[in-house]
Amino acid sequence: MLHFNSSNRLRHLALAAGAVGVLGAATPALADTVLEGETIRILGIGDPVFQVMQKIHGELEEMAGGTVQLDVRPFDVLRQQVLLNAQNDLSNYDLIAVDLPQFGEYMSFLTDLNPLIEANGYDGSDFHDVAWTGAQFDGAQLGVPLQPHPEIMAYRSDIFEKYGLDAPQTHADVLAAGATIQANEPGMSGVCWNAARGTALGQTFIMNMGDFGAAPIDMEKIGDDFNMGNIQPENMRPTIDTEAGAGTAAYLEALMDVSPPGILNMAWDERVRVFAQGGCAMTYIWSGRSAIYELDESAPARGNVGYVPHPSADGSPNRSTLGGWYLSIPTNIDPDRVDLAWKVIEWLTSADMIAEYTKHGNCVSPRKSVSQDAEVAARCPSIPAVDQMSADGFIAGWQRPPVPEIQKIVDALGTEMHQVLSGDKSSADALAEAHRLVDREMQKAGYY
Amino acid sequence: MSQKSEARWTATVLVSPAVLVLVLLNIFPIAFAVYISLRHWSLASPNPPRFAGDFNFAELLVDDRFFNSLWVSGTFVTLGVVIQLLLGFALAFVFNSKLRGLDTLRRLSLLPIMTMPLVVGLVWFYMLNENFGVINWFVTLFGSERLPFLTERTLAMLSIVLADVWQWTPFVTLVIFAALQSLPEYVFEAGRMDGLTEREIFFRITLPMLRPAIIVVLIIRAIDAFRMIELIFMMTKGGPGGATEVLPWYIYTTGFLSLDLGYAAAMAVTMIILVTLAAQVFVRQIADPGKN
Repeated sequence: MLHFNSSNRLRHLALAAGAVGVLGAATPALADTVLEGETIRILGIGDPVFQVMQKIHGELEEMAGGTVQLDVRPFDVLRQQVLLNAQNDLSNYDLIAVDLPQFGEYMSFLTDLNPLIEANGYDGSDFHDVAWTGAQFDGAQLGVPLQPHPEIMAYRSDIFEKYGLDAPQTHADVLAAGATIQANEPGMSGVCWNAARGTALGQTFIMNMGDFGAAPIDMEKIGDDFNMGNIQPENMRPTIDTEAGAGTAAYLEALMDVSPPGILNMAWDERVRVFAQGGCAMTYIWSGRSAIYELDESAPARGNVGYVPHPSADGSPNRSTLGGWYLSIPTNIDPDRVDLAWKVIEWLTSADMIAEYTKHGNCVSPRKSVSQDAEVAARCPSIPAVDQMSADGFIAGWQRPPVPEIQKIVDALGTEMHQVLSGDKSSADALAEAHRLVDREMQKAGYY
Repeated sequence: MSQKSEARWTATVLVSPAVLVLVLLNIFPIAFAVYISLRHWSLASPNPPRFAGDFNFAELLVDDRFFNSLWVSGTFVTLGVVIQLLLGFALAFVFNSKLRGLDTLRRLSLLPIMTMPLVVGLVWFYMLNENFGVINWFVTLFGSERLPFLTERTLAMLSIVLADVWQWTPFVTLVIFAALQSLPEYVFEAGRMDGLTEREIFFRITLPMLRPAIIVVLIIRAIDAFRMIELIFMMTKGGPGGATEVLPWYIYTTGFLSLDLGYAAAMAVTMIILVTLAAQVFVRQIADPGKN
C-alpha cells in the first residue's frame, strides 16, 4: 500500500512516543569537543539544512566550541565554486555540500571516506540504504548524507476524502483526481509542479520519465532499476527520443489541463506555497520542503496532507527520485585538517543534529532512528512517510544519472519542453532536438 | 628638456593611471574573452581546455536559439527604449513647466532609478504573478479571468518591457529635463519675434537643440537594455518557450549553468561587436552633427 496519510500516521506515532527515544530534545553531547577552538570552513547550499545552520549559527558555534565558517551559495554558484576550488592546490574549504547527481561530476576530487569511517568505527547502517549507498562509487564512499530527500507527491487528504478519491498512485490517477477537484472545488487547481523554463522543467521531465521506468541515458538495467555505480562511455547515449520520452511529454502536456494559472513560470518553493495556501490539491514536492506548510500554523494544508511516492505511468513501478545534500571532503584539503573535517561530518550528521534541524525548518531525516522519533514525526509528517517509502524500495537516484553532463541534459530538456508546453513546438520535434543536443554534447565530450 | 616634451611627459604621467585602469578592467577582459572563445573550455569537463579555432563561432551560425535570442534582444531594446524616450520626453516637458508641486514630484520620480534591478524584477514578478499578484487581483475584481502576464508570449515580453520602462523612464526624463533647462531663452524669444508658432518652435528650435542629449540618452539606454539580464532572471527565465530569452540570458545559462565557457565567450564577443557597431552609428551623430 502506497498511502501515507499524515493524520493517521500521527495517531499511531503518538502512541509510540514513549517507546522511542526523544532524540530531538537532546543537545549533542560530543559537540563541545568537536572544534576545540579551531575553525571549520564549509561550502553549503541555500537549502533548508544549511539555512537552518545559518539560523542557529551562534548555537552551532557554542555547541562545537569553535568557529563555523559557513559559506552558503545558490545552486549554480555553489557548483562553480566547487569546480573552481578543485583547481586550487589547496582547498579553501574543509567540507563541501554535494548534490546526489553531482557525484559523477565531482568524484575525481572527492576524498574516499572509507578509511576514516573504518578508523573511527562510524556506523552508516542507521542511514536509509538508498541514501548511504547513493554516495558510493567504485567502492568508495564519497559523502555522508546530510539532507537527502526524494521528490514525492503530496496531496490534500481532506479534499480527496471529500470527493471519495483514492491517493494517486499513477499518472492516470493524478489526471483524474486533478480534473474532478478542479471542476468542483472553487479556486483550487489539480496539481502544482515545476514547469518553469530551464532547470525546473528539465528536472521534472527526467523525474517523470523515471515513472516510465526509463532513464535519460542508456544505463545498464538491473531489475526495475539501473546501475548507477559504474556508468561507462557506452552508457552515455541519450534515450530521450524514445517511447518513454514521448509518454513523458504527453503526460506533461496533459498535466497542463489540471494545473494552476501561471504554471509555465512555477518552480520549486512557489509550487509548495500555492499548495500550502490551498491553490492546488496535489503537488510534486521535495519532501524536505513540506516544512513550508507543516511548520506554518496558518497554512490550510497543515495536517491535511498525505504522501505517496512519485505516481508511476501505468504498469511501471513507483520510483521517487532521491536528491539532496551530502557532506564531502575535497581531495585537495590540507592533510592536517582531514581529521577535523571528519569530526565535523560525524557531528553534523549525527542523529541529535538531524533531529535538531527538524525543529528549525528542515523536514528531512536520512537516519531511521530519527525518522522513528515520535516528536520529529509529529513535527514533520513527511519524514515517517519517506522512511516507509525507503523501506519499501520506492526511492532511487538513477533518474538523474551522476554524470558530468547531467546539467546539459536538464538544460536541453527544460528549454525544448517549455516550447512544447507553450504551444510553440510539437513534442516530437522537441524530443528529437533535445536528443540531438545531448547526443552532440556526449560526442563533444568524447564518449563515443 | 624642451617645454614641449616636458608638457608631453606630464600629460603621459597624468593619463597613464586612467589608461592602466582601462587596460586592466576593459581591454584585458575583452582580450581574454576572445582567447576563451577560441577554445573548448568547459568547467564541467574533466578534459583541460584545448584550442578550437573558429568552432564556437561556426556553431553560432547554426544555433537557432542564438538567433532567437538576438531577435528577442532587439525587440526588447527597441520597444523599451522607444517607450522610455517618448514617456521621458513628455515628462521632462511637464517638469519643465512652471506648475506648482512639480519639484516634489520630480524628486520622487527618481526613486525607481535608485532601486536595484534585481529587486525591481522580484517586485514586478510578484505583482504580475498569476496566483499571488496584486495586478491579477484587481483584474479579477472586475470579473475578468486572471491574465497570464508572465506565461503568454506577447504579455511576457510586454511585462518585461513594462518593468524596464518603470525603472528607466525617470533617467531619460532627468537627462532631457537637464538639457531643457540649459537651453538659452533668447533663442526662443528670437523665434517668437520671427513669428514662429509654438509647434514650429518645438520642431525647429527645441528638438534640434536637444539632439545631442537625446542621442546620448539613446546610446546609454540602448546599451544598458541590450545587456539587461536581471528582469529575465527574476521574472521569466527566458520563457515562455524562448519568448523572453535575451542574448545575455542565453550567455549566462551557457556560461554559468552549463559551464561551457568557450561557447558563452563566443556569444559574448559577438555581442560586444554588435553593440559596438550599433553604438558607433549614434556616436558619429554626436561627433559630426553638421552632416545632418
